[in-house]
Amino acid sequence: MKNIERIKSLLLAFLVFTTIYLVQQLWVEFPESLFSSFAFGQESNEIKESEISDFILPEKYVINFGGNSRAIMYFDDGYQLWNKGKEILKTVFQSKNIKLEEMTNSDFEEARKKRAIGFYFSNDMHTFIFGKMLDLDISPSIIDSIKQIDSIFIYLDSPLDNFIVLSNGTKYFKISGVSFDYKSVKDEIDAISRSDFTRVYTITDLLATSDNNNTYIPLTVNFNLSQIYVRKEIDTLSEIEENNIATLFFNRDLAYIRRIEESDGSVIYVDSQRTLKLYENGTLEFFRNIESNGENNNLYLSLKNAIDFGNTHMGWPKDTYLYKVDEIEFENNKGYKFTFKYKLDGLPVVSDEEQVLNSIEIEMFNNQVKSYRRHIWEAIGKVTLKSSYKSMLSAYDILDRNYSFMKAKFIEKNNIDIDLTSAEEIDEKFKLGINNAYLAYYDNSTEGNQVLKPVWIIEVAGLSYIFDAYDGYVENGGNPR
Amino acid sequence: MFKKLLTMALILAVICIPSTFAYAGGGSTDSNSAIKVESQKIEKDVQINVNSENGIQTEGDVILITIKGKKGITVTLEVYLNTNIKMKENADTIESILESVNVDDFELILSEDLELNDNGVYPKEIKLKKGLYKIVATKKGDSGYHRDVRYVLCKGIDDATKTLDDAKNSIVSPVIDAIKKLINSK
Repeated sequence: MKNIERIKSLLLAFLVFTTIYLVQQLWVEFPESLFSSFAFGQESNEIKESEISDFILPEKYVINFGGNSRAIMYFDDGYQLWNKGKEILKTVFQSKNIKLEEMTNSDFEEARKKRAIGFYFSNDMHTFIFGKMLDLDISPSIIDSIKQIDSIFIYLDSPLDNFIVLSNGTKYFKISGVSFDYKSVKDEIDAISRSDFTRVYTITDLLATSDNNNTYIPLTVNFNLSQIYVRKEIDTLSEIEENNIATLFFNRDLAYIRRIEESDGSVIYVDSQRTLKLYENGTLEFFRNIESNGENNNLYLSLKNAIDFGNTHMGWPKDTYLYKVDEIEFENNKGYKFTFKYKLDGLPVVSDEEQVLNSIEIEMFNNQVKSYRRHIWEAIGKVTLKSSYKSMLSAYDILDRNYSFMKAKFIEKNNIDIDLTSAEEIDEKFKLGINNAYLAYYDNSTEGNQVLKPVWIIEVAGLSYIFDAYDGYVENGGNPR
Repeated sequence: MFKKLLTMALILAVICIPSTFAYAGGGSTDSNSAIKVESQKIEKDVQINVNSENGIQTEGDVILITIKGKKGITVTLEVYLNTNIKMKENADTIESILESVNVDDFELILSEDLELNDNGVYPKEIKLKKGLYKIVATKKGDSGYHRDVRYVLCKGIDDATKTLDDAKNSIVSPVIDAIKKLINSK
């Protein structure tokens, strides 16, 4: 009898827990997207701040399995490395007992052989903003030591001696004294080590330089990327769609807004304070006069307001990330320009920015939006790779094929006197100048294409080159970074 | 009661410690056995770089060999493997092995004639098997005959595992002894 009562109690407890679980599924997970389609709830700071964390994405990941065995990944490929890495970073940054020390180059060289994962970002990120994007406040001692971060390394060699390193590209700061659980990252790294991963080597190893250049590039790649069919996010042939966008930006009856159609196919909406221009190529530009509200420029508040503005003005494409922050000036007022880029199929979309915009740019003064420019492609399909199609080239292949061309540009840019400098010395300088190589999708829509092709971006001493990843031809030859 | 708790704690320690050390191993080599690979370089016209810090690797590792020379020169790359080597316990340096090795035991496993491109290098990956590798780059030309040689020792997984087991046992043994004493005193 007593046993029956006990079974009944257990059954009841099971039903209660099942109910709680199902209610949580229904009211917490499902309606999140439902709520966002309504206006209410957007005033909550929690929702806004958690959204900010979506805007940091690494450009590439380098995984060291120990010694000189390393893998490189240009997209996450389902391992959730960044999401898991972020949890570790939060634990470290929130800890009160951290030990912070600057590493010498030889210390870092020694640490480079340890089992670790490195996250490389496309640009330096303000450490303070980086913390805010992780939804926490990084301690002033760290911010004072390293004001900007361009890469982060999490070392996983021993559970008793785990630490992280923050770098701005020239200096390295070790944060230790915090115990963090890295099992989830370790499991993923173990899985990658068992997979057919892309090996990566330093420039020093690959190109046999005398001095150290620890830029990582692969000798071979074991995957092929497809071209992507795209379409403009704004249908400039539809007046209804254009009017809908104008309504969104002016937030008033269009009867009070002047509409002008230009001979080049662009359309302008204007009132006394604001101007919206929709170009035929799908680029949108919005400008407005801002009122002096007495507020001082605040980087974090400006970023937060810029993201909120994007939320309510056509939204953010999937995998958008903060690319860079510039300090700007207009009529003696100082402000910030935020450039957001986005990834398609895991890779950033790039173009010759002088000819075509491929990002969302927001200028902020007094923490208010002064201008908003955007041009986004929507993916609609992929070009099917035929089995007979040639394999994709590696970054090394690209360097090998274009070596003379790039070296000539390097000599020109750096005013190197070839009569006074030996050929070996020039080679060494050039090889040491290579500081980045990554994969991207290239928008060459200026040629009328609506296909993005995979390319290698190689950066050498302040110049950025774009190469077709299949035939190695130069798409864009050495624009300033 | 206290003894039982202590026994449980020790058993847990025995379970946890080996996994920690197995992970920390990570394929790296014992620093005591680390040696510098001395190149038998004759001329700098052709040079071999190997991305192995001490020239000692483990079976299954991939090494990068980079041939360096002047743009346009022709180089012959030859890789030999000697599987008939005796690994002495705790004394496996390349020099000590080279002293006892029979030259005839080296078998040619790779031979390539290559021309160095504009960048003056030629990189090549090699997946290692157990044995002693001899890597030879030879430049033949009007200016003479130049050669660079490098050796890489690849230990078998069984050797590496043995080293690891020895390390584990040396730390775990005192713990096992303590457990035995506790059980015996019960």
